[in-house]
Amino acid sequence: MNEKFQTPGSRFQRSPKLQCGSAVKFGTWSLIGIWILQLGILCGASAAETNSIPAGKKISFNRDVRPIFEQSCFRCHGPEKPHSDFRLDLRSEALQGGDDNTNDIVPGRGGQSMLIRYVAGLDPDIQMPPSDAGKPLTPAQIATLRAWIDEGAPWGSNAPPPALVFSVTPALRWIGVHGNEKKFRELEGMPEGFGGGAEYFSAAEQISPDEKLSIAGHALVPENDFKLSLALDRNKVGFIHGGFEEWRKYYDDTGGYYPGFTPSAFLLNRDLHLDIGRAWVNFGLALPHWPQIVLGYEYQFRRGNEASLAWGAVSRNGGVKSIYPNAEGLNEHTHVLKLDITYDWRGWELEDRARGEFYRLGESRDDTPAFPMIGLEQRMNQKATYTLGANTFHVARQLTDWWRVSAGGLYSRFDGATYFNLIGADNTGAPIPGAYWRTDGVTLKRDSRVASLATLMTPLKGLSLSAAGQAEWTRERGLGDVALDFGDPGPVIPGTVSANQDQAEFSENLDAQFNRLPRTVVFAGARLQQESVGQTDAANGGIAAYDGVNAIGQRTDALNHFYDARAGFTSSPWSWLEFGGHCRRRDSRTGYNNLMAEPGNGYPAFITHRDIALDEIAGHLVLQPVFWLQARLTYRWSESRYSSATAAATNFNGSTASPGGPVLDGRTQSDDFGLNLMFTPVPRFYFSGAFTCGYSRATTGSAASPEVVPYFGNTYTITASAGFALNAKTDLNASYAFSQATYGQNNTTGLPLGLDFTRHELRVGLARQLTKRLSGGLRYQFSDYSEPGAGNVNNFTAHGIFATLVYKWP
Amino acid sequence: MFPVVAGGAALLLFNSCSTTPTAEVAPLEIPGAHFVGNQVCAQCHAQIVREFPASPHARLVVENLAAPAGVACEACHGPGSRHVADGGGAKFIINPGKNPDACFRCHLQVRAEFELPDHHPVIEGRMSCADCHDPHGGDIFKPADGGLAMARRNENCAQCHREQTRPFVFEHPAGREGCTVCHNPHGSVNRALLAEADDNLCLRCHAQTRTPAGQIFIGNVDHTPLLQMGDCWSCHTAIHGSDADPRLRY
Repeated sequence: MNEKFQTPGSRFQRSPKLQCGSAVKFGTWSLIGIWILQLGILCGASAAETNSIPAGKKISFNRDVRPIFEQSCFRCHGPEKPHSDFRLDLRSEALQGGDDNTNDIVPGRGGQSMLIRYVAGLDPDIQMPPSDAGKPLTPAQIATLRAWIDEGAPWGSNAPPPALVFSVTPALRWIGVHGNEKKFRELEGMPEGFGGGAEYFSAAEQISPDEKLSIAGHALVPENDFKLSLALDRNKVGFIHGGFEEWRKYYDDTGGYYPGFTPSAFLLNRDLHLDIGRAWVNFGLALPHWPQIVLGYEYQFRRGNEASLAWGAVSRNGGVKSIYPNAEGLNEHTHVLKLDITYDWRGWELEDRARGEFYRLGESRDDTPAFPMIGLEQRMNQKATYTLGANTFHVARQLTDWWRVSAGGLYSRFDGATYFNLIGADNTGAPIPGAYWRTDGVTLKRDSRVASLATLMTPLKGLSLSAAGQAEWTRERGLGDVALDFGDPGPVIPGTVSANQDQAEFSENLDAQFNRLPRTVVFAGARLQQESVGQTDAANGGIAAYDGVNAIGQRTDALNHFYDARAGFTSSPWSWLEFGGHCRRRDSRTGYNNLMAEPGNGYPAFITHRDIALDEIAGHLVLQPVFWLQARLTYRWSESRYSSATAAATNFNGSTASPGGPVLDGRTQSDDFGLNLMFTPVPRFYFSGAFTCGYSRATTGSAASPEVVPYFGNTYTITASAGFALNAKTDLNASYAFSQATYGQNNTTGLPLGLDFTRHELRVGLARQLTKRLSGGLRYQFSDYSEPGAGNVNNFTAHGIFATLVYKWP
Repeated sequence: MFPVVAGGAALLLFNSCSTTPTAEVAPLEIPGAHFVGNQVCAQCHAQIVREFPASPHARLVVENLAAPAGVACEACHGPGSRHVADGGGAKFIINPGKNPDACFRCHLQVRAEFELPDHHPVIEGRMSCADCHDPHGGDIFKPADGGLAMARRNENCAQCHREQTRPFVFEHPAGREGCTVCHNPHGSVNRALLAEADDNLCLRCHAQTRTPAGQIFIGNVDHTPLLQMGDCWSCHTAIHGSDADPRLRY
């Protein structure tokens, strides 16, 4: 967390609490004071005669005037979007005046300065600050401003901020790993050995009163973690923001584990990682009274090799298990053009966002499946390209203080093509002549149209009601030629694949909350959805030949009804206690009308109905018995049930595969408990810690089968951090993270895939202010990971030393 | 009994006028700053403040008289007086979009999920909660800059996972239930954020029937030997969809 911002667990003092009713008293005396001041000004009395400024006392801008501006003026007349184009943070701008006047401040003539008339309430049309924006100035404050202008409105000698501000944090580290280093870098995001660079750097220069240039980022190797962002902002004109960032995601290369095999796991030790990044530039136009326009371009990429979950088959002793590690080459590039326009026009909030996406993907993977289609090994290459154009329009208006309406629309069009090529190879990896399965360009199209309407009402104090409706129509088309050849000599089996899908979806959302019960909020809401889908899929020839039929096809109409409803409350009867909870029910019911089923009446056409239902109850309790201690407890229980209705299905040979009828497919249950503790018993010490414990269990209709055992276990996490200010220049800090999962399975007929691990991470360090501008930090880190559920092949222990320096100017 | 109830009710009412911030809104602090209330925030962030009553986050404040119009904005962004005095900008205000710690004060379980072996890189600072959630609008499951009233199915995930959410000739219908029917979006003990690491994940939707001989039929195919080999996606590798194979094997 940024050191400027502290939680109650920090050693910084809490902000003072304001007192009930103080605003009323203050306002009353202010009004009386202003009335007296008005009388004084109208009578031509000097400012010194009507306020408490001692005669002969010189006004200091920084000491006397600037605090008034900060309290009451800068929020609207600061550097960002100044109202009426009038700024009070720069003398030149302030003397220039705003849209309406050039005499807001007339040096030496406080009585002629509109600023004084506005803040004193002397102008019949304009009161500053406006009544809904803050408290009126006190008579003393008004008199101070008057006296300051009378003295020539000097700005003070030290007013300009430093032109150049920068900081840099060089870092150096060393990490030693004993055990599976690939697993270590996957979990920690950095490899072993030496590393470092600039953990953070930033520079900002005020080029002119209206122009600011800033640069920030970091650069760390060897994990290729780079970020550079640049911003050039010019008030009342616009901005240019751009940058580049890249980071590396590491993968281990272990695959699965089966204790009945020798070896029971495979470590290929390949260097698997993806480099993920983007570069962007945005040009923004921010002219006063004009629409805000942003024209941008972004390039996103992912390239490298990632671990694949499609593990290869391994045969031992007549058994086959899919445990051999696999990887997939990925080369993905996306170019995005965008144009955003927002405009407030006579109370109408208008917004239009246009996007153009140009996408290109290349994928490659070598497989050794248990049931290869062509050859013993298969080499897959796939390419996909598409263009996507989308435009979203949104308009909103605050009709009254309590009623807001908005509407939106979206149109998007997707045009794509994919190319797929699977080459068969023998057990040495050599390609088998003529053994391939490929598509020669499949075209894909999708058109979507969406319209939405929403309203928000607060008809009574403390009551808010919101409602929204959204309709979406989507049409998808896919079509292409395929060819399959099991190897020379042999015929090429041509074919086609095609799919049509038409979808209509209507969604409604209703929410209400009420907070006028004593220190209590009650809320309820529901989302409903109705969806109809008409779908036709067909594969003629080609792959259908592998499955022993001439054609695979289905035509299904599906009708879905969905709702997600919840209700709950939050209450805080005393300042040291808060509690609340909610209950939720979600249900998705789909009926299938199978108009055409594939030969054999097979899957999925034999499903006629599906229901997925969720029940959830959650609660929380927050205790803060003393200001330096806060505890938060949370609990959540949920259960999901998956059920189907089926028609009778026959096997390919005509025997009964399923008699039909209702089936309980599966059930998942979970309980989650959390405890968070923050306390600061003494100002120099803070502690923050969290403990969570979760239990989940998933079972299916095949739970009694040895192949599919229930999947259940616990997850525990502990995160704790503490700090102690040793003296004015030195801080000690420590943190500890623990996580554990117990999903290990005793499944000898199937494959035990549940993760069973324990992980510890301890960090201790100190930070010291070395000079006025230089500080340093030193940290030791210990990491330990063990995974008995994978035969301990992923275990590691690591030690690391991290050193940083922070230099700030000025 | 009645005096106890009456006393409790009186205490509740009395405390409803307490000047002390609730435990919910107290934690975030910015040294030297104090609460200013939503009306002040509305001077520059009018659109957000107008929409905010529809947000689930609007429940954060029970009642607070320390500031003129409640401190809902500042419950997550910290007290705003120094931000206001500075004329806006990022210097003296907490932005949970940049630093999720403010979100984790309440969303403890989510914080714990980000500690699990496979997780979206939020605590690493490469993503923010606002990339997937609109903290101010009526639909929390919508990206923050979406112009429509409600989230479209899977649009959060599609911002990055284009290959998995694009159209396919043969799609996996599970996508219609949403990506989260199979993936735990914040973090999971399993690879690819899967809710379960084995066949239980698939079979909970894919209706199966068991014959007296112990065979497990999924549709009209006896999957018993296939289930013995391992997970479903070792054979059905194109699990999100395929342009070549109706069985989603490639």
